[in-house]
Amino acid sequence: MNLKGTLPTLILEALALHPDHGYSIAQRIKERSRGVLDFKEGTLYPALHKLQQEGRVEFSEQVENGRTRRVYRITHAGRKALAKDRDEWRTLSRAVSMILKEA
Amino acid sequence: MQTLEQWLSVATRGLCDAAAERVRAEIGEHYLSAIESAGAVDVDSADVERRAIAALGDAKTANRQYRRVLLTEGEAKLLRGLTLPLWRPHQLVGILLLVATAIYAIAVRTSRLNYLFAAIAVSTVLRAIPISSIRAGWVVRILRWGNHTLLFDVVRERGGLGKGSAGHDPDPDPSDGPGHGAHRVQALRPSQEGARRAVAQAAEGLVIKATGSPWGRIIG
Repeated sequence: MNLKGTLPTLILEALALHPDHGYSIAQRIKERSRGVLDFKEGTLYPALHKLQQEGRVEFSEQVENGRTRRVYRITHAGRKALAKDRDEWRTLSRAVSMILKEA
Repeated sequence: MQTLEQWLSVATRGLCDAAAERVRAEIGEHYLSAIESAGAVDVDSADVERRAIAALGDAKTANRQYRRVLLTEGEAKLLRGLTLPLWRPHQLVGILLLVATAIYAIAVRTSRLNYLFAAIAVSTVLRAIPISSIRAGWVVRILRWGNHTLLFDVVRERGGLGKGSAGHDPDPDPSDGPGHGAHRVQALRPSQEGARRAVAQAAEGLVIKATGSPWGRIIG
């Protein structure tokens, strides 16, 4: 399942637990949704760049096993945006659930 | 089977060099992590690589998304042609002098040569403005085009410089003598050729300066 437009929120949610690098973020999103939410990993980085430009995530470079990795972390603005997204999602989800129950 | 290099060549199409390099680094790192992670449980390396590429998805889709957030070649070219690398004290002094000349030329309006100085001053100021976004880049570029149009119009309209309001006499008085009116326009012609050449050289210098700035950067 691919819910368009939700990837930035899912990235923020993944980073809210702890800072991480790109590959691990993608795997955690897939694992936490038990494979239901699938997305192409090539789209992860444009979303990360956008979040970075918006000031919602920041990164630092770390060298592991001779390879330079970018470790992303959520910012204060990112946490605020995530809280807002969560509220909006819950409202939307409740509304859709009510309609589906009626049907 | 698509290789990582083929995937990257599509995904980085149209991006400026620095942005393409960044994409190559992050996707390369992602790919290596995927290979390492899958390699622990799977010994078929070709299959591991195929699945790692497949997990990246469509390269064209990634390219479209990258172009929205990273600087493209066209945008980098636009910015390169518009700005000086850094503000330095002597640049600021020079700009202030040119601005003062421009204000003087506009206020006095005695010579077309002053209009030329004013246009060059405005052009220099526009080139020195630090550009931080593509939108600002387009605004400055439009202003620069307008300024260049005015500059060439000044040159073309009268066919020479040093012949401002004082040189152009719409109502020549016959009593002025041979040094005034139409007689004076004729008398100025030899110097107009020299002025034309000077303007052409000045314009050529501007073009060289506009295309020769070795500067580029990434937004965001």
